[in-house]
Amino acid sequence: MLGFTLAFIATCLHVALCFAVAPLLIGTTNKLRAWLLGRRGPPLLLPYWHLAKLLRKSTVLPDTATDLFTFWPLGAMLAMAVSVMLIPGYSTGLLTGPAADAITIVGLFALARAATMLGGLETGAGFGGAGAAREALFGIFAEGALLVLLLAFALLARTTNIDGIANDFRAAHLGISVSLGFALAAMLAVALTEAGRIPTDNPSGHLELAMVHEAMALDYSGRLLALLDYAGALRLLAWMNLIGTIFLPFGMARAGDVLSWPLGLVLWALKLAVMAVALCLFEVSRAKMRVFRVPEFLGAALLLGMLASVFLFVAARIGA
Amino acid sequence: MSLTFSLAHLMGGIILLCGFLQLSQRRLAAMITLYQSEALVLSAAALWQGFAQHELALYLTGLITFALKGLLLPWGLREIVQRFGMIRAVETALPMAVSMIFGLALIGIAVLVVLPSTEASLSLTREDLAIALSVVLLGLLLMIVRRNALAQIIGFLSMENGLVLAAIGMPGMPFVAEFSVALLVLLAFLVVGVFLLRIREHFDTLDLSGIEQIERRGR
Amino acid sequence: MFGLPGHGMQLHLDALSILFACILLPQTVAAALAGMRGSIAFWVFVLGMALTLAAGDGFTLIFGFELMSAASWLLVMQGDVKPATFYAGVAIFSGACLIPAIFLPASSLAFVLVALGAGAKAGLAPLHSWLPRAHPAPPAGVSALMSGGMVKIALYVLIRYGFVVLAPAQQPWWGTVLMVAGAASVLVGALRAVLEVDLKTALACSTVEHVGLIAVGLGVALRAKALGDATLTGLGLEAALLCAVAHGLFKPLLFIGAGEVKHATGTLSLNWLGGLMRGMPRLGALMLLGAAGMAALPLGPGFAPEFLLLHAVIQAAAGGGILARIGFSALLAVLGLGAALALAAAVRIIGIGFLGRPRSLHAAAAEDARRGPFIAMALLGALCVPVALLPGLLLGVMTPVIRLLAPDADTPPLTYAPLSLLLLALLAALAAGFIQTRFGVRGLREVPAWHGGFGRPPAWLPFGDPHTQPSGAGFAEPVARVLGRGLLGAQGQDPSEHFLLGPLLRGQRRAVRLAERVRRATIRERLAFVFAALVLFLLALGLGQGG
Repeated sequence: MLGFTLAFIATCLHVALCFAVAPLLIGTTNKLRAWLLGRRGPPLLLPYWHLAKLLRKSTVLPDTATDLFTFWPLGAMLAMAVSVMLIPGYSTGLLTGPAADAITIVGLFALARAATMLGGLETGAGFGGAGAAREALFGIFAEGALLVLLLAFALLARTTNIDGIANDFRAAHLGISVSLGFALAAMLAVALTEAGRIPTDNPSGHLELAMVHEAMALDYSGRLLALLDYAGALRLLAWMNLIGTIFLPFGMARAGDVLSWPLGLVLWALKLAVMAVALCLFEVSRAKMRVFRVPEFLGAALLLGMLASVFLFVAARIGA
Repeated sequence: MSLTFSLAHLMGGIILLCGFLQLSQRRLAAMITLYQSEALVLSAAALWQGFAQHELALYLTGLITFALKGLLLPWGLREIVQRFGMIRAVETALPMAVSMIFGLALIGIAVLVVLPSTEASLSLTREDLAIALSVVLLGLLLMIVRRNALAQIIGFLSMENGLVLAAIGMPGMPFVAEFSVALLVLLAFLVVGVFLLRIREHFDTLDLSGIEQIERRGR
Repeated sequence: MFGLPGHGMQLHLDALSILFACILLPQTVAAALAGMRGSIAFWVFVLGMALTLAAGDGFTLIFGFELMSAASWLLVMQGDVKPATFYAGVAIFSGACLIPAIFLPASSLAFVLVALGAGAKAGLAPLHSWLPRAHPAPPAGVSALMSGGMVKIALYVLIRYGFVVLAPAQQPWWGTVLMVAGAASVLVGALRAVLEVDLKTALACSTVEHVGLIAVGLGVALRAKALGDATLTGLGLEAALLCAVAHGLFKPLLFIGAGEVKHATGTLSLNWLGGLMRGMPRLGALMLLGAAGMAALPLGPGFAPEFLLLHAVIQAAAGGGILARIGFSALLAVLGLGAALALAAAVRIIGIGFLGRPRSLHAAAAEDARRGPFIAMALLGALCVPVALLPGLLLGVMTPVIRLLAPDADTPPLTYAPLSLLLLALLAALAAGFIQTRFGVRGLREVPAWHGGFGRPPAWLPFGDPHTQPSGAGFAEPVARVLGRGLLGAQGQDPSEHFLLGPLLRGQRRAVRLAERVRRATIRERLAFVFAALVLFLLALGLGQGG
């Protein structure tokens, strides 16, 4: 009973913290990026003000949109919200853990992507359609690469549950393995594409011809835009949590052990900060890719994922 | 798993990663950067092996690799790129995706060949040997799938890195052999550099498809 | 009644045939409601399928199978003659493979023949190219039953022979054959589903993809059964059977919906549809449900089978040698690509066809679905809900079927829990609603769309210039550029038509030329033929006696 109560509290804490922190993560990356570019940057809390402002503005409905116009942002946000609840953050052994199968999470990402794409096609505008078509193209390769990557983790941890993978990777001293290195490179490529970051999409670019995620949100305003922006923030957090849980599982708390929570929380914040810095460093040092180079980028990620599982086989055979 | 092994292993993995990513690049500058990082990691691997095996020759190999392949050759390559103004992407003979799939297949073959044929040897060197063979095969593939002469040279150099990687993993490899290989590569580079200048003078391009046509006509 | 002399016709029902009868029943009712009640050929078609399922001996099975083929050929003929001829050729080929297979003893040859015969009928690559031509041709109810039912009957024959009848001779490579064919179907079917402009053709291509998914599941199970892996056998069978059940619900729904779209607008080309959600909201909502199933989205009916299939492939990759590892990871990549392509196809059908601005006056003036087809679709949609939300329960019901197919198979519990996901989503929605009511303002104001700064369209274009929004072909263009031209060729033609039908056509032309020459032969040449044949026979006789 005590164990259940603790797990319940830990889960609530995880969910509340994730939902609260997601906009701050966007604010931090924006600030860091500005610093690295030699600017002063927007205030850290700007995303919160932005969301509050959008909530208070009136929402307009384009006359060419159908009744489902308001449904897509909500669908995208809910799918991302559920995946954020499932992916462990500071602690393993949450109540949502048993449902956190990696394939379910891939499916939820696909659901969010489908809702965003349909939202882009809703008004029948040229930009929205082009953005949705590109998102479909990127999604094809990203999903293939992600599934192949999951194979590498599943083979190492003998489970496809993210919670189980985190537990296994934390307990077993895997050392530095070639295949995990390949998997990390591939995972980063997929994460950057899915989260709409620089080499494939520009998160700060409004109204360029090559924009993807922004293009699908052009006709949204008010609270619907707030939902879409919040879904974007949740998406970045979900990917960072995923990478942190799989590749940096050290120091994660256990839900049943209250004393391990503070360290877990501090380390979680630290990991997010490190990943934000790494993301910004990468983003300012890269140029955006042409749209039709992205499939090559993700195709390389897919093949790296396959290499990872091939070398896992080698490592298993030679007993290293 | 000892630290010696896992670090050596990781470095081998990074070298293979660089070799594989060279296949996915269209621009010479990116290929040269990847080659440079490959060579730097290789020199670090040689130094680490020297430290682990207490072998002076491996230290020397590492230093030579660092100076020659990590600094001198990339500088020379960049100089050539600058001089010929080859900033743009180069022509590929095969679509990117196909060449990458070929690369993956080659790595699979390398693993398939190395694992059974080295059954008797130390388990620690077997995976490194598979990686080294993969790097050699990827270098050869790179030479085949690129039309540009300079990209072919990078493939050649990358292949040679694979050979060195195989050599430093094996205890008891004579230093003389490595030294001579390194000198050979440098000489080959110089010769090819001069050769490139001549090609450029005659044909005004480094794209070898023109020469291929002339060859065909000659036959 | 009928039957082989001395045997008679034997009927026999077991768990497997009951399961497939359960798949068949709702869509038959739906197709009948959708306007096929009066057609005799339709009821003969249904009778053929039922007879195949209830068959207790090989002859009855073949009799039912061919009855089904003949009746569906007649039905396709009502729609269009050209695909019907093509279809008849495939049906004859499949019969020619199945009939000898049924009377052969259990062996690998028998399995290959069954796989060729049933695979051709089910639309497994490389024998699938007839399916996207023949399935869209007849009226919507028949299309629905062909895609949802007839394909399943062919798979039933494959399962019945692969797992039960030929079980004594089973080999691991049988499963590999099915997996390779299935993976090819998934890739080609899903890719063509994204590229086809015709709504019904796109749906038929998606059927090819789902048949591929089922075949991959069956292949994994067949291989694992021959190798003695109990858990993997169970997983593969669960995935295949659940996929068959789900596909048997949402695909007929989509086909009947497509028929209503055709009835309301007079066209099925996505390039002339658009904005149908405004005129046909009820139909649009049901199509959305079907599309969610087709795209295998979580909380939809298609996700649980996809989930099980991916688990099965991941588990299969953990065992075996290096070739198996590379093969299964490539299979996983293909399944991932296929799933995302199916998502793109479903989004394209809904987003281009039902959202946005109308692209023609007919689409703008469309009225909602008629009563009969709407009831049929609502029935199928209602049945989709338990499949989507309670897949674990459904798998429990299917356990006897799995026991029948593989007596020592192990069925692990499903770790995908749609109800808990739904609960979490509800909690998040409640939180969002609370924040909205506490801090936000309510209300929606309808304004002219911004459209990226383009000016208002002239008065004679009431819903704007159709060319300023992406068309069905335009949406698919990036995919066509990156994948389509590489895999399907420059014109987007199917590779199986290029590599299989092309040589066949050339061979036929050559044979005709030869026959023509024989026909025109002089008397002397004909005498020479006869004489040569006689000498040959004598030689064979002499050699046979001498040796």
